[in-house]
Amino acid sequence: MTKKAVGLVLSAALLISACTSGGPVATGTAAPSTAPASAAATTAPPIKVGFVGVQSGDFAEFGKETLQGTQLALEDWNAKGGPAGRQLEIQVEDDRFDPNQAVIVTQKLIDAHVDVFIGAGASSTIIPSSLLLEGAHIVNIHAGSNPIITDRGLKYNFRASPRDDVLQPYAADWAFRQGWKTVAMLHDKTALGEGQAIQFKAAFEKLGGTVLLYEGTTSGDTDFSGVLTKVKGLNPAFLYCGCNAPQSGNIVRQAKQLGAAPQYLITDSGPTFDQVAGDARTDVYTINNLGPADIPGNEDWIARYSARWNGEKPSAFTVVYYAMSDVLFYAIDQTGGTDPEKLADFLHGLKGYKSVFGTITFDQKGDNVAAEIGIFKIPASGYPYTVAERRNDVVKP
Amino acid sequence: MDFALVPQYVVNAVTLGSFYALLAIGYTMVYGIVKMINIAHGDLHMLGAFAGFGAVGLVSALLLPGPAVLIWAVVVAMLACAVVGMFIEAAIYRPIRTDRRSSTTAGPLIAAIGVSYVLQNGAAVIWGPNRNAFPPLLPSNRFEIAGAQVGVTQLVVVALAPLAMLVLYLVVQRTRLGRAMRASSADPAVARLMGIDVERVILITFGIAGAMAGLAGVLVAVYYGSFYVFMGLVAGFKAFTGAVLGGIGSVVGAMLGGYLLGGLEVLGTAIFPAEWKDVFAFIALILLLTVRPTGIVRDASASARV
Repeated sequence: MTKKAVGLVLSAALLISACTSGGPVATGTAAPSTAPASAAATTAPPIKVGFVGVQSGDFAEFGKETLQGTQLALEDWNAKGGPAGRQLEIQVEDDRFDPNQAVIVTQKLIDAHVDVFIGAGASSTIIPSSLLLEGAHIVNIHAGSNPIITDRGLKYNFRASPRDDVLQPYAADWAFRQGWKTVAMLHDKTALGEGQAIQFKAAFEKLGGTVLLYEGTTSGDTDFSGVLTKVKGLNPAFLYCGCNAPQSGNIVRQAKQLGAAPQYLITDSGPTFDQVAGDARTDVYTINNLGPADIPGNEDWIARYSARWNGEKPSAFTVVYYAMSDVLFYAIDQTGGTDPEKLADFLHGLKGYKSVFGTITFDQKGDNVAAEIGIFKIPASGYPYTVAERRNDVVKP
Repeated sequence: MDFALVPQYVVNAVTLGSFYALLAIGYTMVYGIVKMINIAHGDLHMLGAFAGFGAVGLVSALLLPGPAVLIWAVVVAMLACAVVGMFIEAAIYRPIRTDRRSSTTAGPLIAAIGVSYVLQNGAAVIWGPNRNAFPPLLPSNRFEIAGAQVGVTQLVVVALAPLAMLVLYLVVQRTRLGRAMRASSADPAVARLMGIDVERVILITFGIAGAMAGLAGVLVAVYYGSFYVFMGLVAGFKAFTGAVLGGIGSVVGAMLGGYLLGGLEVLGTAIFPAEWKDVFAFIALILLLTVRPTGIVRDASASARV
């Protein structure tokens, strides 16, 4: 097929999608572009989206969910002509949850001249990767929760998910309000897990709670009976797990077998946790941003997600990735291109954007200050989890 | 350290040690006979978990009682891993080992690293990187023994591991095959002169090692309730350490080394913060090896070695 023919087919496709009114995207403001979509698409080059996530190892499940969220957002935008009338192209790289690898693949994407960047996969990989992107003036958006990321005064860096120093003090406050005054804490020694645990510990102690044990686990371990026996001996009101989902699953399962603690609060949950914990998942509490099903009006989106991805249910991470990809494409559409200065200014001033993840409002740091968070109680089976409490007014203490 | 918790720590250590010991045996048997570290052994136990899971799925429609399904899963996993282990030996290690031009140690070792990567990442492509839940085949009842919580699955693991090791020990010490294995290990050239088909003995050794890995894989999956494609990495490394600790090449040593490593880890957790567990266990390993470079079982005579 010649280039011209491709262009013709593309414009035809765009015309058709333009005619089918509404479009599949559930998110508020439909996107009118400045130029007629069909004309722009024939000449405008595609927009290159760089995506770095965890595609292998312990967090691979999480990485797969996040990529699926982003891909669906991308397909939704492409189906209605693409932001500013340009089609989106994605290049995916694996950071293996390894900061060194994240630097390598981020540089690779910068060298490939990506226009915008989604990722990296977790706080420990975002921290180095975002510095490279800042230097290259590429707008990047992520769901890292470690406060450091946006506290460094980066201009092109945006965080869609809540900060740990908002989430964890809130969780500590909630636990304290339940009358749980003593805690044994485990973390997985990653920037994510330990970062969360540090925030929780500080807030819990400030409230007057006692931290009886505060220890790290080893990556790749499945047997936690030793440390859990120690926890049992300390008799805490609850066990806190700042660990990745598979570890939390193993820990809770073994802890319940030992009778290590009466209550459990974990930071990372979802399908992997449910699989590994099995029956032990029942009545475990978890803290997170709201899941897709907790935000009203998401039914269509959830159904569409399942239809696209072999009947899988979207998780609380998927929904953030969809929303943050969507808001990034929206910004491209509104500013009429991928100029990083315009994009960054637009996003910094964005207020009250309605997404499947709730409202998105970025402050000068690039934090989403409207992120809605909650404490969830995990039921004996199924998903979503039961909301124990939800808030969207929690600010950094 | 809270002394009221000592019984629980002992139970923990024995359980963990059982897994290490079962895997350590495979490392030590292979090393004993071909002086090669089969890095891919840990990944065989991952395959065992998947084979066991598949076996459970096959009979799920029959609604058999849990213990019967477990035995079936163990048998299938042991057979599957024995076959895979023998295939790897015959198709990959043997040609490299027997080629006069190849380096005697580095070639097979690098090949083994390659096999390990292929197994892990091949499995990841086929089954995906996610954790899979293993169905609970045994009742979840728990007993309190001397203040320690012990589950039914735990009892089975703790009993089955030494039983398997005992059978293996008897095979090595009391059978014609065992004698051929010991002879091939002591001096392959002389063993050949005595009419022993050394290559066949090596093949069988890989088969037995694989079967033990398969058993360990199913037991790990049943006990922890989940399994995934990268589970062999850390477990294999720890078990290999256990084998060295016990005196690599010795079956008895591998058992002792596995239990000792389990004990050291649990002791490390009991005394120090959990993040120091491995540091403690491996400092102990280094100290022990500086004093006894051959590991616990020092006897290098053919009778004690496979």
